Amino acid sequence: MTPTPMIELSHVSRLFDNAVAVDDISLQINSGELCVIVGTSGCGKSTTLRLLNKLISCSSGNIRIDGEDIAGLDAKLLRRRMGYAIQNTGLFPHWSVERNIGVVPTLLGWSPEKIKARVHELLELLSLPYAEFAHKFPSQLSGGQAQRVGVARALAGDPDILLMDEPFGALDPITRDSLQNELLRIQSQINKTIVFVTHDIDEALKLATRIVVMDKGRIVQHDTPANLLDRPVNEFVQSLLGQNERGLKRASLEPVKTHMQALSGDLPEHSVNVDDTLRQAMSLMYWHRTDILCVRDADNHAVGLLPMRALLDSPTA
Amino acid sequence: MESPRSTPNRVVLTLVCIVLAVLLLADFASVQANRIVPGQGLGLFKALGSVWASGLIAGLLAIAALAWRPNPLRYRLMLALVVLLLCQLPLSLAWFIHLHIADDQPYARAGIAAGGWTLLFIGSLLLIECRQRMQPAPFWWRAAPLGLVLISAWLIYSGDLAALSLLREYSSRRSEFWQALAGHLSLVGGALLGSLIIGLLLAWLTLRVPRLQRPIFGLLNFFQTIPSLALFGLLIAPLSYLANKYPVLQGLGIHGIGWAPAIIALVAYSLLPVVRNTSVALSGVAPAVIESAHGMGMSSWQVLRQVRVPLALPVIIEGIRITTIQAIGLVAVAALIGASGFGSFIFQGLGQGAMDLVLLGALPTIFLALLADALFSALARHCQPGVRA
Repeated sequence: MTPTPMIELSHVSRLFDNAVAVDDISLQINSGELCVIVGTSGCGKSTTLRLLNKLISCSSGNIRIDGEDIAGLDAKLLRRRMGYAIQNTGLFPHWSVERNIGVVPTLLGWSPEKIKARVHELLELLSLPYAEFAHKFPSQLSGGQAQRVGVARALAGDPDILLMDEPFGALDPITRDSLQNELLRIQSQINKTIVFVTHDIDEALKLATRIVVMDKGRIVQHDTPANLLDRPVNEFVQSLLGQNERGLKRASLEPVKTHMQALSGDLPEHSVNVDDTLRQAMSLMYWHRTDILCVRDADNHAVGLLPMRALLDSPTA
Repeated sequence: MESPRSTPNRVVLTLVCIVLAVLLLADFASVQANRIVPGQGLGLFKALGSVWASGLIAGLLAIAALAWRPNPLRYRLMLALVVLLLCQLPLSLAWFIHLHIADDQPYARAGIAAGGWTLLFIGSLLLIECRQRMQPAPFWWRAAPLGLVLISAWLIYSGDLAALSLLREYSSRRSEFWQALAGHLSLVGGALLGSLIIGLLLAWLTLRVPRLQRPIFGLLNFFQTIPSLALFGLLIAPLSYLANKYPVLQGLGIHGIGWAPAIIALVAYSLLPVVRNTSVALSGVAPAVIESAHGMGMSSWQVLRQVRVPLALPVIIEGIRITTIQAIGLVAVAALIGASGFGSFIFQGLGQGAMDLVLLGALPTIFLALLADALFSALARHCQPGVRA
């Protein structure tokens, strides 16, 4: 059985003063997917995202959300069903964190008690204690905190779909990394359909279930991160992935789990976590000048061995 | 703990030197036997007697001494002395009147001369300087303006200042004064209302149709460049013509002179600050904020009312503040074309060479402008969005 697509674009184009921003793209995004649209600036990725919530209208083609053609839907009502988070947060500077997060629930006409409970829940979900943050104003937050509030606000109306336009683009690498992990953790809990736009291929490889590579308004390739690395369709995708780094990027998509061998003989001196990636295992081998690691689980029990040769085997299920 | 030796506060020292020089060299106040004869000026010691005058000089010297090596405690003492200095001003005038004008001289009048005015002016500057040096300033600095107003009001009420020339002028024009106040306020209010209605509409138009920005701002800038007197004059002819042609306009009280040309000219002048500030403030809201407001599913009206206007409000109020202060000043000039207001006292006084009458018009005008400034500034601060980090 094929899952019904949550978002479906067929032959969508968008012109700006006769310049083509989005050129005849067709795309299906399934429910529960985290689809990352990646490309260089000006490739039409942000325009594509804005077509989805009608901030921009299609010049031709049509878009279906959950089976409904959005051309016939009221833009305001459509947007309230979709979370929207953008790069510079767009938080309302004159409202407290609590009121910012409560925007969509208020527009949806929820009761004040329900809104307050929802704000509470979301702040805890994003590791911002309610008592400390609810009454702060955006100017009193750090960049990372403001972006978390931006994500909380996007989730507030409990939408099926979350649209994110380079939400972590303006953050320092450490904060960006922790927010990416946070997003993956949240997604494993709430399982929304997320469309995420970025120019950072590493961010795309880390987050995506499937990646859409765009160039000059067209979709160049639409595939899983592993397939994208294994079989890039053309030189543009290859260069986007980085020629020499491809091996390491591919290794960071493979968990140690699928390459480890059964325990036998003495335990090696150095260990790797069973949930770590092959890339981290390779780094440890290089660092400790060893060709074999002991694989341990979360409780620190030895569960297998990882010799260097095993890295070259094809993964076991 | 021994604090490092501080440097002298040169501002305070300079101000004290100036006021001492003026007090010792120029007249403090003057007496006139009646409105016609020239007044006789009196120096500080003659005017107030040696005890009061010495006290005043001693106070000023004490301020200078404290300013030589200032520290927080000394600033406190300095501020207290300045408050006292300002509050004793109306009392010293009452004392002056008591000393020099007998009760059986109903036409005799007392005037404030250079020394008195300088003391008031420099005292206010000292207050501002001390207040700025103390962060945060103690709340009781407000005792100075409050005390000045309350003590003056009390002395006016009790009749101790009745012989002051300003009050003599007032008492002979009591009803005209309150009419002038009402006229002044209604002209300012009318101009404000008119420029707000038209101005907000024009500002909205510049945002919706950016093509109109250049012609609209061009026209409003052009109005600003016409001298106010010329604009008042230019309006007389067309309005008289219209009023003669359509008697219904005369019925409404519209003539070539009077309130009609005044209001029209005032609105024309007031439009630029209102339209410019409103337009800049509304278009200056961060694009990301507007985009996310739309992206959340707000309607255009909700974006305007809940996001654009609240964020723009302080700057819009700033425009209204400028407009109001400008209008208060211009209404005084509009007296020349027969509009009511404090300007009529000023021009009558100038015509008769009676400076006290000029002051009777000028002082309330200044007071109204200061009041409007304080009021709108406080309002703008109150509307400041969120909390500044």
